[in-house]
Amino acid sequence: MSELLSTELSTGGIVDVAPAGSKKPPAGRSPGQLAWRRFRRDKAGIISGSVVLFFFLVGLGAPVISWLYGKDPDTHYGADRPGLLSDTGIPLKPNGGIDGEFWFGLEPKLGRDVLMQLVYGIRTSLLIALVVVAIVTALGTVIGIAAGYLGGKADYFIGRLIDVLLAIPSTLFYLAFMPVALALFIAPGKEAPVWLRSLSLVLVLSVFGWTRIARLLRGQVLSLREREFVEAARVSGASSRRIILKELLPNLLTPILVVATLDVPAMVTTEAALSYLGVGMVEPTPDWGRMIHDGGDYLTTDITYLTFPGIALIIFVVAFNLLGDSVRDALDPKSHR
Amino acid sequence: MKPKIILGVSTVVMLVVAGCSAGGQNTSSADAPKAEVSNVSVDKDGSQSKGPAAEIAGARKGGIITPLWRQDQTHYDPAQIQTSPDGTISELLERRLTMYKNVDGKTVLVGDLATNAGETTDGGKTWKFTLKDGIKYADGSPIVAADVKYAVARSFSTKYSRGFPYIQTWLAGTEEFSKFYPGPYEGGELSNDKVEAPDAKTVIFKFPEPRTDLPFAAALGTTVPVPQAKDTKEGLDQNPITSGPYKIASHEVDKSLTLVKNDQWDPNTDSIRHQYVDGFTFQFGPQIAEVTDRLSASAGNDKNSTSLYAAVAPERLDQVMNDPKVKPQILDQATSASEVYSINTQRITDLKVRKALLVAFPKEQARKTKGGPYAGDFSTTLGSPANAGWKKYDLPGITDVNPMGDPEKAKQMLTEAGKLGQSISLGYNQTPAGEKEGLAIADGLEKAGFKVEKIPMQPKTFNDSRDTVNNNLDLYWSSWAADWPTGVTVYPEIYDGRKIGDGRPNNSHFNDPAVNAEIDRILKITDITEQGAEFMKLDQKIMEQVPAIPYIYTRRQLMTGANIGGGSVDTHTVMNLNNLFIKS
Repeated sequence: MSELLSTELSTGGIVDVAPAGSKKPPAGRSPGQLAWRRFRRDKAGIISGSVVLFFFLVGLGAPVISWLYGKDPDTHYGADRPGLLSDTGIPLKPNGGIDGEFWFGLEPKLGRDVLMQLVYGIRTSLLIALVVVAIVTALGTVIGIAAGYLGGKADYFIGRLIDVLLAIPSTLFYLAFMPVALALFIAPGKEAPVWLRSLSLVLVLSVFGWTRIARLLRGQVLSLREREFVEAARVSGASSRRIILKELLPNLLTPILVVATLDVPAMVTTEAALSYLGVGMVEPTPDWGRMIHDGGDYLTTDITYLTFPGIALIIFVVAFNLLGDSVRDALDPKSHR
Repeated sequence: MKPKIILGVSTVVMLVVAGCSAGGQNTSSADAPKAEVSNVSVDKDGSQSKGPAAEIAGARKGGIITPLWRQDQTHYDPAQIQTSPDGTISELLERRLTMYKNVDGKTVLVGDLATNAGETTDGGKTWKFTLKDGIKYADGSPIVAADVKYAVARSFSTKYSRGFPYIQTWLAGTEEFSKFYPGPYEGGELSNDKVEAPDAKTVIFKFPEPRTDLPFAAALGTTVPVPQAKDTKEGLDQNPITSGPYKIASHEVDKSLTLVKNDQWDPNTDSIRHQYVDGFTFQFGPQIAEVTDRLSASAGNDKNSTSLYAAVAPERLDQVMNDPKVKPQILDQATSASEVYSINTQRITDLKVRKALLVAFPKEQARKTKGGPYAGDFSTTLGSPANAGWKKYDLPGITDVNPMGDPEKAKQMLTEAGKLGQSISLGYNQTPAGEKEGLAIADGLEKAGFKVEKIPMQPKTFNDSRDTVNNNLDLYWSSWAADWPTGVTVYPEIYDGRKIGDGRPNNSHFNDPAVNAEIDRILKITDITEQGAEFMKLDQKIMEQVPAIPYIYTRRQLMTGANIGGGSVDTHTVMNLNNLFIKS
């Protein structure tokens, strides 16, 4: 039954017709393989996929880059060594102090290396975003399917819960909640450790982030459960668990994957925005959003400092969104044409 | 596909080209204003107190000026005002017994409502002020001596004692002056043994101890006259009774304040103020970056605007100070404030550790986050050069520390004291600038072998949190500007160990009985010059115990719009509103 549905999905020009006179019989392909073939043919998808992969390699391989480059994000190169920054903290060399030693220049005032700050900032934002997306996808999937399949009271209460969560302004909540929560867990006179900050950031983003995918999946399940193959499974005595796992979930993989792919840049920008506002990761953890915030102060004096994180973020978000579109096209070509 | 590629590539190229920038520039030493050693004089004979005020070259009448400042005044009742920008606006609106006049870079304390800066024949125990002729309130009624006496009496009441407490404390002989006399609402008239107004033109202050600094204290809001019949009590905090060249036309709380000309003000009685412009419209709200940008551009009405107290944002300094069009709009002035990093001597009790902190402290790197040399010169003393009698002294090992910090030497000192790895809770202001400053300091201290915990503090409550006795911190920023240019309002407030308490300025919790006794002794000295010299010796004696790390003698850059003339900086380091005019 589920196979029937997949072939419905995969009728977008994949018929592997052997040219007349060839010797090999046409090979059967699974939906995954078919999707991959479609993806491979999409130029925009390949390019954006490579760009995204590059960012991930940069973020995850930050310590390696630091080792190869010979610098770290924490040392105040410009402040400790005279002659790199002017009296008021602006890099003396043009273009933000780019030279053979500091490939992306120096940060004003403290003089940290911009390349290292950016690479580690990407790492921070990516790691947090990935963890949040993983939690949010798992949570949203479970709740969404439960709401859609069980219907009745469960659906009603879950729906109201989603409404309440969507009504609360999450950024304001975080602005108010963070200092209070940290005060509870930190002894007075001690700093809040990085893991605690990132844990609370992940928690708040997760609590407010699962609603999108839950709503989407609820809608999908509602339409799916009336389909003949589900009815047939139910009639033939399959348990709810089996229906959910074997009949519904494989058909939901497409929207789940697409939403997860589009959620990653959304989470990255949300985390960057929170750090921009000052309630995300604070100094000295390098952070993408905070770099952009600080760069805004130097628009007239050292705009080069802003261009690196700014352009990087633009490219990342555009690439990831294009990738999401390509993934959706590959998995479900009929979906939005 | 091709047009898309071209579009994509050209977008990226444009973004990259937009990111090119010229390099920074170092300040030239010719730019630095000299650290202002105190040059305040007192007009004892009244020769400088006679109106009208000298004309400013190029001044013309007319126009409206728009001062920009980030917040509304906390109080409008002069008896309750303590902060600098509030004081400046109040000094424009309400005249008081004495006031400061800036002439050719010199500051003179002259008589404002009084004919001179006060007369004493018994070494400062009794002070007599004679009011000028022809002084009136904004409603036309004459100002009489009884009104000054009533204003002083009113400031004893606990409700209105949020302002400066000096005159009340000195008259009562105790800091609990409200217990001595509860004010006119409950205690009747203030006794003639303390303040007497024998006729409409004479005010006499009688102190139990000699108070040579009374002329300075008389410039504060305590002596702004209030006629008893018109005392609206809390109402004075919205509608004070004014006598200056301008009066309040309207006030939208936290948004704007509009001042118009007061036609009852007689320029011939006022040697300080001018009435060039038709009025002022204060705009409250803009933060320093916005103020800097608007005044640099000076577009539209912004050319008739001025900063009130907002300094040039440190990130803009490089651009603004090197732009020949904008540079003339900037007033670069040394202030009377002295910044230190106070050490909590109740927690860091080992003098060797405090000395190691002093040696390791990276002043240069920390100051760079505040604007480098524009933030001020490095200080080596606790008091500011603006105080009378200031003189630089040399304490080997203390005043000759390396401004970039000496981590090796500090590490050695710590190891010898057996305190390597000493934990330091550094309290910093949680603003973007404060974070960077905190990082710079933590970096320097950690290199020296300290273990630094950076504790963020909210900007709004920074002073309150810091000035709590149990603040759980070891090292924090502190700044003090004397309320008038002698040491009388500095050392007895900040380093007297008997004055440790919540909300009090002795936030290093320094307590040395020998120093306390010295403070008492010096306060009795009647000659200002001798007293100044003795305070300087006290500064050195206190510094031997390193209760604080001297940081910066504050310098401030204030901006006017392109069309404003007569700009100068007053004694509070606020834009002097008395001489401003619109150029065209």
